[in-house]
Amino acid sequence: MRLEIESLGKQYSEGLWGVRDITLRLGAGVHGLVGPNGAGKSTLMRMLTTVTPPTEGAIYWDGTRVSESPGVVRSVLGYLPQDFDTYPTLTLEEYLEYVAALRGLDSETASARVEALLDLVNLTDVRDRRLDTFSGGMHQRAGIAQALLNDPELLVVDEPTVGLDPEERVRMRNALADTADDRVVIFSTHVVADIEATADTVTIIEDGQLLTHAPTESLIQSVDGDVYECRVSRSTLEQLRQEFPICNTVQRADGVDVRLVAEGPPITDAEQVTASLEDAYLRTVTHAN
Amino acid sequence: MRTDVRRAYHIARADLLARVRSRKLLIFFAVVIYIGYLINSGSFGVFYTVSNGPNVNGALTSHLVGLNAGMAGSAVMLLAGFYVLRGSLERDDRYGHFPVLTSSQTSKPVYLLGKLLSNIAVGVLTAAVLAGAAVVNHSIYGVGATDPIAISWPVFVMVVPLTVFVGAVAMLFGTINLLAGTFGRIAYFFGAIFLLSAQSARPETAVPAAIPTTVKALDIVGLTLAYDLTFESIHAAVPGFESSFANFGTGGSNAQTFRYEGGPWPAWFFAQRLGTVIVGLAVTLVAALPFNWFQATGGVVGKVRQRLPLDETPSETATQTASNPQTPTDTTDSAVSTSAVGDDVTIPPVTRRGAGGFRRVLTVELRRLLRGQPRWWYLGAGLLAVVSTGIALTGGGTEEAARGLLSLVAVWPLFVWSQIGSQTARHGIRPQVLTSDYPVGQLVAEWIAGCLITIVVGAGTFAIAVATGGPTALIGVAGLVIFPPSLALAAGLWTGSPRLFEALYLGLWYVGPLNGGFVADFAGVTARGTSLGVPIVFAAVGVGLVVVAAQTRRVYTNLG
Repeated sequence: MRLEIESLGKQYSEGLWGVRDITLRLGAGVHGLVGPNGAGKSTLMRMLTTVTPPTEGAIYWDGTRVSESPGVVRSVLGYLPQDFDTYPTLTLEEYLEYVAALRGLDSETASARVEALLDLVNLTDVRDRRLDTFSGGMHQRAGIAQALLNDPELLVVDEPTVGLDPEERVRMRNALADTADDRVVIFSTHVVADIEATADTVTIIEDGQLLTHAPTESLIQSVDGDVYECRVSRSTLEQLRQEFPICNTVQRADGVDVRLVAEGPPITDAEQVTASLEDAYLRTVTHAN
Repeated sequence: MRTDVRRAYHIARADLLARVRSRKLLIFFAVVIYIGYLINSGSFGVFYTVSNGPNVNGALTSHLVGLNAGMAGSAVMLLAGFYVLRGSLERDDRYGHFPVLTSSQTSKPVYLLGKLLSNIAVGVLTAAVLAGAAVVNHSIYGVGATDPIAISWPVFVMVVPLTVFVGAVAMLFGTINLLAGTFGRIAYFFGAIFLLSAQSARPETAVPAAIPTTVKALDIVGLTLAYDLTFESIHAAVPGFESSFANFGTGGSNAQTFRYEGGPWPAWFFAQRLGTVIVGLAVTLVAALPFNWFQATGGVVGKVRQRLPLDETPSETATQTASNPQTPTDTTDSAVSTSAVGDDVTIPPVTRRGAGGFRRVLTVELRRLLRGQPRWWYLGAGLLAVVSTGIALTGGGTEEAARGLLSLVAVWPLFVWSQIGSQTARHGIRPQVLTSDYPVGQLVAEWIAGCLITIVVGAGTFAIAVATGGPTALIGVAGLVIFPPSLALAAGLWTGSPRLFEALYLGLWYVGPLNGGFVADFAGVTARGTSLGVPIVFAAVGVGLVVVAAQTRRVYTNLG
């Protein structure tokens, strides 16, 4: 299974492009998609899922051009949109059965998968409750369950961990990673730690443009040796902000602990530390700007 | 106080901006302009039925055009304005605006006052659009000099106060759970019809001075006002004129003509409009009582439910504890390993894709349409189905009974039909549907499910109709089964809301199946409509709407 994206672009109006000239080749595994708000992540995902037609370029699923045969992707697609919603008067189980029918599952398969997925997303006990009584986190977990219903070969999840508490967030991202061996998972999020924990490759986009697409490990390695931590005064922190991408700050009684990316020690007593994906992400975005 | 006024102003401003930037208000204005055109171009107008001669209508002078436009605007505002004005609270609720408002210390009365001001602004805009169109119409089709003031001011005086009342009622309905949905829209429709029909309580051949005060007080559209204003002009043109009612319609063709050149308006009408505004303000204040920020459409019922242990809904925390007992653990990301969660869940693979078939989609759509209705609806539908089937089986039906039952079958499933077409957009399900195996099939399944429910509810009635009216009654059955779900599907798909369908459909149902207007008799209630094949025309239109709606969905899903 292979998803290929060739020079893809979406124009909303004259001079306003949601995304432009995106080219990617994605095989089985988890592929993280990160970028600032308004970068075009959701637009890209809506095109990949055939919800929005591209203005230019093409998408191929296993060599078939999706715009010509959208059914080829739809039959193997699982999708959790960013603005996921449900029919409020249905119970969770009824809703999942509804989606299973739309996804073309027979009733036996649907029942078995609903059962297992309710267990996976930890909602078995509320299967008979109406969806309008669900909290935001429960609602999001229901969204993940419906996306996995048809055992998709292409799973596109847009901000799947929004609204989940830390424990559920870890559970969900691990579940996505566990099921990724034999499918293409595209996972968009603002939480870079989720990508680092699960993704085989990372795609960073900003202002609709592709900044980088690389294996997670190599992206992290690209900033290896360039990440420092030091304790500085607040006034020094302001100076550092002007010169370096600041990854993190922690307030202390005698100053501020700062984590930053620099090609050499920013101050004499700065300590070199292990790089993370967030460091790599910040440097990539900062360099682009 | 000043802060509250500023708050109300900005609530009104934001609400009005949201409205004027939506297509719905533009469509409403287009409808208003079109009706104004019909009224003031002579295609359709106000006429008086005369008991002792041909009907009477007026020459289109500036004063009469202004009066006609005011009446047309009032009628549109009364019947359609409610459906346009009522989305205000729902919109704020849907877009999560209430928490922001609550945290800003805006009181409920101030919030509702802001909404009321926005409604008034919509009324002023409507009147301005209609008055402008009337001036243009008069310059083309009118008689005598075009007097913009004489044409415009009646429109404002008649339409704007009525907007205050209609908008307030829309707000009140929006705050009461029972009235917030389809039932409220039906209830309003009948309330408006009741107000209109109150004018028929005027005694035959009464001179204006003898018209009862109650009739004047309920002159919501201005029919009695028109009679009062034009009475002398009609008498001058038609000596011995005896009439009791002004009507909208085409009955003025080949009629005698009077010429109305204006004159002082009666004080009672200004008092009536002032009273309308006062009632509107009072209703707005009453709406503040049941209004609940955090359950905007829950209202009184919602509050009572919150205070009583009716919902034994476990909290999410309790649910999690019950379903997934956790041992104390470090919940930081790194502390929870992949193997610690989810390993015990085995998900069976999907071996056959696309094996479900359209029948399963139809089944789930049927279930979805039938879910979430009030209990009394199920009871009524069950009674209607069982009683009519019982009558049919015992051969006890009459043509009269069939007509009555057909009228009922033509309206009871409205609650179900309203769910067709719009709900995927309304509940944000579109991405799931559009990316599914059945993007167009889902739409068709909704429609078939609507038709099937109509058949089940009406089966006994249809049997009685065929038994008493012969095979030609099947024409009516076809119209009734096909047309309402089709209109619902198309209107719902194109507007993303059930309101247009409900407003159009209730109007058709009132004129056709309920009152026997054969031109709108899509259900075969009238012998004349059936003999002319009117229901078949509606059925054909219905099928056409479904085809166009399906093509619309095909285009949406990049299939067309």
